Amino acid sequence: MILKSFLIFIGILLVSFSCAPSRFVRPLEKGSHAIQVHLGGPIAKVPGVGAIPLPLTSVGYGYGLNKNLTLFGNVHPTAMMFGVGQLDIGSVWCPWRKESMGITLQPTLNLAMDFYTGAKRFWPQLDVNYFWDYARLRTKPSSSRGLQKSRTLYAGMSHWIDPYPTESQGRKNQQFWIPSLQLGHLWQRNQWVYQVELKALAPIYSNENIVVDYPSFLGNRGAAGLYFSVNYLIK
Amino acid sequence: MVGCRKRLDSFLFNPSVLSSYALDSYSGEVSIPVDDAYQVPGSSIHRIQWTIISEGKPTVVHALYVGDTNRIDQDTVLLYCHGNKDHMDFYWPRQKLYSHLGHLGRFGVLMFDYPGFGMSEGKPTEENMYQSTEAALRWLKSHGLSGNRMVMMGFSLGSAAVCEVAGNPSRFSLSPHKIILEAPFASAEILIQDGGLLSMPGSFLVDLKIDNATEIKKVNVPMLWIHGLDDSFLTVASHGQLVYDNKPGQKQKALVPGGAHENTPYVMGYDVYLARILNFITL
Repeated sequence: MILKSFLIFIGILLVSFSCAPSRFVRPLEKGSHAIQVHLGGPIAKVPGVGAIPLPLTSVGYGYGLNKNLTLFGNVHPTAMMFGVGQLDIGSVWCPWRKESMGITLQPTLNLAMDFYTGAKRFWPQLDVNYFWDYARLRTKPSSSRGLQKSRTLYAGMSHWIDPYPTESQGRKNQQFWIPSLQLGHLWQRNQWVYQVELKALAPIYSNENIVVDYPSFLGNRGAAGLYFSVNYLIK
Repeated sequence: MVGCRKRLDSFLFNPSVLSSYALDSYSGEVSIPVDDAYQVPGSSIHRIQWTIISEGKPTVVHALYVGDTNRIDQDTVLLYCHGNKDHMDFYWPRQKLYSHLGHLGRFGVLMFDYPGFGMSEGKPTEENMYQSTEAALRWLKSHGLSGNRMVMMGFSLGSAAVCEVAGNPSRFSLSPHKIILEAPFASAEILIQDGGLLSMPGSFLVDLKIDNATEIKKVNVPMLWIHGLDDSFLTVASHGQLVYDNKPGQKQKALVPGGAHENTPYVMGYDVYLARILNFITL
């Protein structure tokens, strides 16, 4: 296993660049602010440790522009450790909402720049989620804080676009579209929202011969990811 | 920020430090298992050391020569640049194997530990790897070796040292007559891109400038490429094939069904493996 340790690390970091949980499953109330911390990543078999979700982080902020549109941005401390400034900026739009359920679209632009060489990359992303507030324990729709306690299930699909036609040595980029599927749950308790999300990352691509052992729901395709987030809502 | 630089370079080098070399008595993991048929007598084993200047400081590099040091001015010598793991004890079975090319003693075989590996002092870095390779070439030249009797062989990481020397002969004391690359990697950037989903510059994670796929374009001596088809770390498609395709002039390949990254000689069968190398060197 000559290159194992190096390649495992590389693989972990590469995947970490390209995956994160859904930022906001549903829009914030108009005028609300939220601070987010995300923790987690792809589940990888680490030699001597076992299969673990990798503890990657991002920190972000969101603002409810109106009841159907939230703007957000996140920075990625993991990438920062390697001299790469990575951030994502985007919005969450709710085009359809009925009673306790709705659909949201989350267009996002992921940006990364190497502080040392100036090399830059961007990757557009679109997440689509369906959410269902299956339990609303204390609803105050007319209050300034909206839902006080709720439990929400959501499911959706994430699409990353890698727009670069060629890679090093003129090799063709074979992976312009990188889809993922997610299933998650939100617990809201007053100003705190706790989120857990399970992801099937890149299920259309083989996970064989990519140097890192990624357990997947789909055998030899894709990887599984597990994420935890905490949101603090501010009115 | 600039002062700390990055990042994952040290992960490419996977050395272990030794207080002494055990060779046949070494009980740890080894690159490939070889039996007594490939034993070499103690009288043929020469422990050598030389000093390089690394970051302004004298740095001792350790090496092993199997053969007759008094006949280097007449013999053909294989300079073996090992992979990124551990130290010479790990690769000692390979050196014994190559010492039996044709028959025991037909070729001299020199192997050395890069700085930071085994007993060699210093840090494992790309620059130190090239410096220690140059020191090996200087030592061989000082014993009378000429380029037309030298073959360089690089395994995995060692392919970078071979491509650097063969692609830039004016910068080194000797230039090889032929080169052999076993499981070479194409470039540090392709390592990065091959391991992930996104088209990401290599510089996002490493400072390494290793680029065999480009260096090989400048190599005009014949090359033999050996690669296991089941190598899942440095795949044939992403790495070896690219190096092979970019190599101008004479080249041969031996792709080995069932061969993984490390065990290709074993899977191929040592006799077949050695015969293939001998055929390339002598014809």
